[in-house]
Amino acid sequence: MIQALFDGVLVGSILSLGAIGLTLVMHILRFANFSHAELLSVGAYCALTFDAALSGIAPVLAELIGPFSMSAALALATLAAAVVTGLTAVLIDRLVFRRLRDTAGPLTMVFASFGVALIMRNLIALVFGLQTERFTDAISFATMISSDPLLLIKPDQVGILVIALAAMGALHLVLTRTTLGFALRAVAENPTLAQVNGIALPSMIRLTWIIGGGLAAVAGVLYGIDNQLSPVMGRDLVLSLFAAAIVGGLGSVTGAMLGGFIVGLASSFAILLLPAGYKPAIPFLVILATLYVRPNGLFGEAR
Amino acid sequence: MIGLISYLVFFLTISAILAIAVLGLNLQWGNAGIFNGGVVAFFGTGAYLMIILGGPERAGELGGFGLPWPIALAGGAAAAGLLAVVVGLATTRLRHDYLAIATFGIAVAIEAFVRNATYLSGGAKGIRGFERPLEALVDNPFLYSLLYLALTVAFLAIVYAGLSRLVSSPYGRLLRAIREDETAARSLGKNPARARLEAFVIGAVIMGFAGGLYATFYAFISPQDLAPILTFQIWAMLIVGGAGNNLGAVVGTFVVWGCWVASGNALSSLAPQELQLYAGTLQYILIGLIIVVTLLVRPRGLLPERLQVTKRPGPQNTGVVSSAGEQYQS
Amino acid sequence: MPDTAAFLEVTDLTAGYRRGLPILHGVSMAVNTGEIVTVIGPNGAGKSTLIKAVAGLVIVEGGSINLGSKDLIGVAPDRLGSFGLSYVPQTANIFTTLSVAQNLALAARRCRSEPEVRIAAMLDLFPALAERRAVRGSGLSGGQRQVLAIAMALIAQPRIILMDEPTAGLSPRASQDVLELIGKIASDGVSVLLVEQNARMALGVSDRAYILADGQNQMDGPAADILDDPAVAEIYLGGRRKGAA
Repeated sequence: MIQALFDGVLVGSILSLGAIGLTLVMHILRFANFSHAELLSVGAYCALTFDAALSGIAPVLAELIGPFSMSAALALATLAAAVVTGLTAVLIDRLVFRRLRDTAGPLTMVFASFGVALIMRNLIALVFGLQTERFTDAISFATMISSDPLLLIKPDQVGILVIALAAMGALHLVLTRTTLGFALRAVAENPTLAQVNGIALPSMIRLTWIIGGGLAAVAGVLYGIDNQLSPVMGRDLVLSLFAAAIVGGLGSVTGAMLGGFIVGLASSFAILLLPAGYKPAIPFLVILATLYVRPNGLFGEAR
Repeated sequence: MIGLISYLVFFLTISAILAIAVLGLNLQWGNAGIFNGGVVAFFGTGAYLMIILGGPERAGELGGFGLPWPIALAGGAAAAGLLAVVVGLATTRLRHDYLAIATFGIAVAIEAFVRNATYLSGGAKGIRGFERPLEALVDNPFLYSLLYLALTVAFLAIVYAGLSRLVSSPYGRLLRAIREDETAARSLGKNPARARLEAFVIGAVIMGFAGGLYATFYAFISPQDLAPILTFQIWAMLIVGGAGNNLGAVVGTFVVWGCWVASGNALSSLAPQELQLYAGTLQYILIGLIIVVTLLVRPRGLLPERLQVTKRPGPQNTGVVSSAGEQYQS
Repeated sequence: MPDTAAFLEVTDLTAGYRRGLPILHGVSMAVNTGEIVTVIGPNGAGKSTLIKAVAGLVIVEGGSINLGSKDLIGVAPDRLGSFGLSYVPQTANIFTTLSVAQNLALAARRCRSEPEVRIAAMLDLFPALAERRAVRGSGLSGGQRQVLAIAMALIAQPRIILMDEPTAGLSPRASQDVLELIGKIASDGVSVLLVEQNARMALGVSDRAYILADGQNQMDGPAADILDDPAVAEIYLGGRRKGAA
């Protein structure tokens, strides 16, 4: 029971990070981006590559920090991956979504996002192989923070939670303390009014993709540390991310954070009741329940 | 020679079955503008239920009612429709991309369900063995495959004719009006949510019907057949053919399925051994590229929808526009 | 129509929300420096469309819009501030999820000179806003919202402000306050282009007025003359306010 609670919060923190970018894109660009989850894969595999390169150049960086299976190299690699993933998101927007935005309706963009997801996912498989990968082969089972059979906690898991919360905290500060953050919230609320107040939409759209991509990369790395990297991790996560965004209410960053935890907890508690095989269906049930009970989510506005 | 012909018959049968599903999607997306992200859920429900209702008894598992084939087929289609009602009621009133997410979700959920509900679906191994209609009368497998092809093509023709009539009826015009301007349609006293739900359900029934034909053809269904790629393939067929145009939907099916089969064959015969493992990966990229490039380069497909524009005299026109303008202001 | 010193000049404008379906059919008008000009007319006449065309928010298919010596057609709405133009939309003209201070800080981003100074100036000018600087936009009254919206427009030190029905939905008292404020703004040399349903009240503070109907000019002249014109009073200023927005 308490293990399910901890696991749910842990997975939830990763989902929250991924869902923030998704909810911003869905709200500001007005389409459900089914390729968003692939940005988690892009970020994770970028970090894997950078981590290997950095560790090769400066082996001292590759030493694991304390009881964690994370190294300074991985930390730096994650930052670089966040930047690269953000830029990848901007590039994809320029290649595909921006062109469709001008000529086609939002649902055409949803269509295209499925195609983009297929291409991204399978390109990753082509480049990195279909097999799963891990950031480190070192087994960190040796030390446990809690080895009570009712609650097993690995140091890595606490690290993941702290990093995820720190990333969300940083975003919160940007959104509530900087005029750039006000501008982003303004565009989310009312793009026309934002424009007449001097905010250039194209640069805000770029910012949205960079934030969304960056957070997705961090989420992807954390997911990779907790589980493992696989080219289909995006496919496995996409529905959970949508569920988190919908439960929270589209456009609400706070909602997406909370939604991530709700979906994480729902999934971890559900396997106490249902066979594990049904787990992939849980996010769908969360979505359906939300749409029936509170269609605009916890913090969403009717539109 | 006979091998080639029987391969062609096989190809055409699958194409015709898929074309029926694409026609169902064309009603939803091409005419009513409803986004179905989980075609495979409705296709799969029709397939599974057909085989459960009409198939032979299986030890320790539910189903195997041995119902006559037409009834089993209709039951599968009806089940797909019922599923559409459940999803549609929650979503047709909401932001349109919610339906995309919900339908994508139901596909994931249905796949998880049939993988695990062994008592009903046979689990991962699926349900094997089904006596196909009239199979006992035709003892030559090649002749039977010809017969089944004829049957599928006949069904395709019937669905095609039915949908063509529906699309050109006042109801079809209503659907397109809602697709173009839901607010205006509502102001004319129409109920867009209801019409959209109806179109969604009819489309799902057609997909379920296609699924039933598919399971009948293979006398086998498994979770493998419900992989999400089928949804994307069916979309690619519709987009390439031209959403909104029934003929385009059928042509697109043959073109895309032809590309899929040809690329699969080419990869398996030409690609080096170490790449064979990645043949599927390459084919998925192909489908993704077909979708994205078509949307970018030829968004209306090979055979674009023929829009019937009814010209009205000036004053009425400005009336409509200024009402749209006021909408914009408020 | 004044032939000199027209600051904002709209000539033969054809514009609408969809290409090929214009709402304005060849409208012309001008606003001089420091002048308050009101556009009135029945619902659906194209008043809002006119103001949105100047703000770059609708599709212009013909005619010209000049501000000073500059052509405004094709200028993105976010660049209007650099032309000395601010626009206050009719509804949803403040960000309800941001606080008063955040709304002002956002609007001040486009100021060339120090934004903090401009924010302080606005809070000085509008004590009601200073008192509520930490309150979210959603927590303001209708009148306060309107004042905030006008402050957001003024913060950029514009030479002309476009206002779309600033008194819509306000009490008569609050409407009077807003119109007085508009008079004060103009007396500082800022031109104001006003669209109003509340025609009689608006004409009271205006210098000149234009009447639009069916997307075309019907009449124009000094506000006082329009107010006194019996035919105008009959058709446009009558007791029944047709379909107030």
